[in-house]
Order: sequence, then structure tokens, then C-alpha cells
Amino acid sequence: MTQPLHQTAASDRGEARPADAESRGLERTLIATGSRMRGAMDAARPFGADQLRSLRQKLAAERPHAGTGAAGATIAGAGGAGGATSGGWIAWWRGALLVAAALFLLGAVAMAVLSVPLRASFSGRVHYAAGGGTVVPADGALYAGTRLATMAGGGVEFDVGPHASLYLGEESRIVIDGPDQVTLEAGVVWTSVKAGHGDFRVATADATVHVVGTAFEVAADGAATMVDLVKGHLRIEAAASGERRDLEAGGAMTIAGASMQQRDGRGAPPAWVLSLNRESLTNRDLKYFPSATVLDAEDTASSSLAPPPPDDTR
Amino acid sequence: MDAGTGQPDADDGRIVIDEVTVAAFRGGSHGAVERIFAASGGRVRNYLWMMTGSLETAEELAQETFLIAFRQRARLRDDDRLVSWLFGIARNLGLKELRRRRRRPEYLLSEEGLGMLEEEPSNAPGPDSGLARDHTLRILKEALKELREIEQEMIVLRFFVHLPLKEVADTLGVPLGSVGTTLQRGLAKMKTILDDRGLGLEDLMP
Repeated sequence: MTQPLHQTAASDRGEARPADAESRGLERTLIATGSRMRGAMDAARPFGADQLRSLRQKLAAERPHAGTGAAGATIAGAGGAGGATSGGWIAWWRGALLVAAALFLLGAVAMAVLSVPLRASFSGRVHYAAGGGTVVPADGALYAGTRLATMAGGGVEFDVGPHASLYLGEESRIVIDGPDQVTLEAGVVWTSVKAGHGDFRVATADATVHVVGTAFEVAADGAATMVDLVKGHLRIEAAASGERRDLEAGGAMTIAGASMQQRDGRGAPPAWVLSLNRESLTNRDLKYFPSATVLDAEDTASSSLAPPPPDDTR
Repeated sequence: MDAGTGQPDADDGRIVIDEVTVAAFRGGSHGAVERIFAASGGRVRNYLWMMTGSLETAEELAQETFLIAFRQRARLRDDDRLVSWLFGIARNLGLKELRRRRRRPEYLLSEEGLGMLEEEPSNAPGPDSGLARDHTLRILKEALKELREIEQEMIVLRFFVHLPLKEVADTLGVPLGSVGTTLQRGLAKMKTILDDRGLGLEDLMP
């Protein structure tokens, strides 16, 4: 409720002259009418998920760190100073720049030859993150080499490439290898991939799961990897033996070393995935955004991250 | 709770944005922009709606406000002034759009907007949940139009957008001390205008 002017501190309103009784009456009328008007405006066109989604799309088109321009200004300043002193400096700068460019090209070629993944390879984006100790990039952008992590009660919803949607469950760690592969280090990840869009892979220490268009869960606890398939089909390749087996809808498999054992699957997404999907976008916004539990800076958060304990529920 | 935003709303109208979010915003976090938008976007949208008279324009400009804020975040000098900085950007965008259309600010909704509200029940507590059975808004709007523009803007920001005095001052770029004086003067003028038309406060209250 807006506080009437005559009730605000003199220092707040900037003058000590008391309002007359009639102005106070009008003020109360304006306060009441303003409150009712805001309520009616919000009822006429609720503000929420649609606007947030639209803003998110526009933000996605923005360069992650556009707008500061500090580096560009520094370089321009250095060049200007050289030009003002002597031609010898110009020649020196040109030579230095040529050497730097040559070294850069040499480095890039070496990295390409050695197949070192470039971190600049944009691979996806985080949409939601929740839970204390959850580690996500500051701008939500995922590059090859980005690691996401959660602790108890945490979770991260993100896309990788144009066709894969993933949910990282609590007490889990995952590395984005590129737009078509992730590596689950520990914990559980739920993956949904649109059919007919090439190969998407979820790797663990025990196996690589090749996805053709399906929805499934992979869990890794350090001793074994469990795969639960809901729809579509998968090809699973054991890391130790290289043996490949196909898994059909409703099936499940446990991979430990060279052992690949088929078992009965759950046939439905796990409860925590369903709860994510059931909630409307607005509810998820309310649930996740107002809390200050998301650590946006990977560097500052990593020191508080403890390795998750083995998952003994599976 | 401020209707439509889902955010806690301080008694004096402050929009509360925690310092972690502001720091993340400065660092270029899209998530932080979204959190700030969720907390304050509804109020910014409604302000622009009141000013431009068009809901569609207001929604576009509200989004533009946050995109500009994100691009120019290095210009935010004081974390505590984030909200008034956002409203200042929104105000500039609204006025620019109105200049482009060669129109004057409505300040308290267009005829079309008032019509929309009269068809909607209000969520706000009060003796009358709807705005349809009285013409309070129309009467106040007519009286408001007689005031100087700065008085109109202050009354709308203070009582209809529900901003604290300090944020009203920062949004308009005027000293805090002049806000109280100008508001008092505007209210006294409004009262005189209503009196001249033979309207008492009892005619305004439902």
C-alpha cells in the first residue's frame, strides 16, 4: 500500500510543510484508486510467462557480453599514443602485430590438427536452475567444455544442440562435449531428443548411449551406468569391450565394465522429470527465479562444490 | 504481493531485487535479466500502458526497456538505483514513441484502456472489486490533464505506478526535495479543479 505523503518522513518527501486535510483526502482516494487500477490492469492482461518467453528469445540473440566495450577502447588508445610519437613506433607495432597474428594462426592450426575442442564452440543454453550449490554459467550459454553441477535438491534444465532437451537431476555432474554429445560424470540426466535429427550421444565412464530420437534416463554412480528407455530406441556401446547392443522402448540396461545386463524398465519418466514438466512456465519462474540459490559465477561456486555421494537408490 | 509479478512488494512500493541478481546482471547474466524482468516488468509494462495508451506498444517497449538495460548495463552507476534506472529508460522510450506518433502522453490510460479496465474486475482489495460502477478514473484523468506535465508524471508514478518518492525523483531526474513540494502543489490544484466542477471526494469513492 502506498504511504500517504503526510505520513512520510520530512526527509523523504523533502519538505516539512504539512498537507491540508482536503489534499490528504484526495491522496487517500488516489492511493485506493491506483491500487484498484493496478489490479484491473493485471487482470486485463496478466503479466508473466508469455512476456518472459519473448524476452528470453530476444536475449538469446544478444551477444553474451556485448555492451561493455572496455577492451576495444584500450586497444584504440594504445594505437593512438604510438601514432603521436614517431614513425619508428608504428613500424615496431606493425611488426609486433604481424608476429602475434602469425602465432595465433599457428596455434589455431595446431589445435585443429590435434582435435582439441575449442571452448568457443557454442553448444546450448541453460533455461532453469535451482538448488543451493547449483553451478551454471553466468549467462546460461553452454560451450564445449562447460561443466554443470548440482547438489542435493538441485536441478538444471538445458538444451544441447538444436534437438536435445536435458534435465540434470540432483547431486549430478555433466560436461558439455559439444552440440551432439554430453558426458555424465555422476548422478542422473534425463534426455529427450527429437527423432530424425542425427546422432546425439550421452557418454559415461561405462558406456556411450547413441540416441536416434527418443526419451531416456542415464544414471551413473561410479560403479555402473543405468539406462532407462521410455520411447524410441537406443544403441549402447560399452566402453570396456566396445560391444554394442540395442535397447527398445520400455527396456533398461545396466553396464558395468564389459558386462551389459538387460532388465525391466520403468516405462515412464522418473517422478522428478514429471514434476518439472507438469509445472507451468510461470510456476517454474516463481519457484526458481526469486530464490537466490543459483550461483551464477562458475569460478566462485566451484570451490564450494563437493563431489556427490554415490547414488544407492538404484 | 504485487499482482501479476509474483514478487514480494514492499509497503512503500519498492521493487526488491537482491544484490546477487544485480551483480549477475552487471556480469551479463541473461538469467539475472529474466529475474529482474519477472520482478519489475509488470510495473514497467503498466507504466508504459498508462503513458502511451496502447497495451501492445507498452508490451513491446517494456521488452525493449530490458534489452537496452542489458546492453547498457555498464552505465548503471548505483546498484540501488536499478529500478529507477529501468523506469527512466522506459519513460524515455515511451516519450520517444509518442513523439514519433506526434501524440501527447496519456499519463492515465487512453479511452480504450479505460474501457478495458471497466470490463475487468480488479484483484485489489477494496469495497468495490470492479471499476465499472463508478467513473473515478475518468474524473481523475480529466482533473489530471489540467496540471503541469511534471505534476501529472509525479502523481502517476507515485500513486498509480506505486513507486516510492525517491524512485519517482530518480526516474524523472529531479531532486528528491522537489518531488514532495511538486506533488503537494499538484494535489492542491487537483482538489481545486474537482471543487470547481462540483465534485467532492465522496463522488470519487465507490
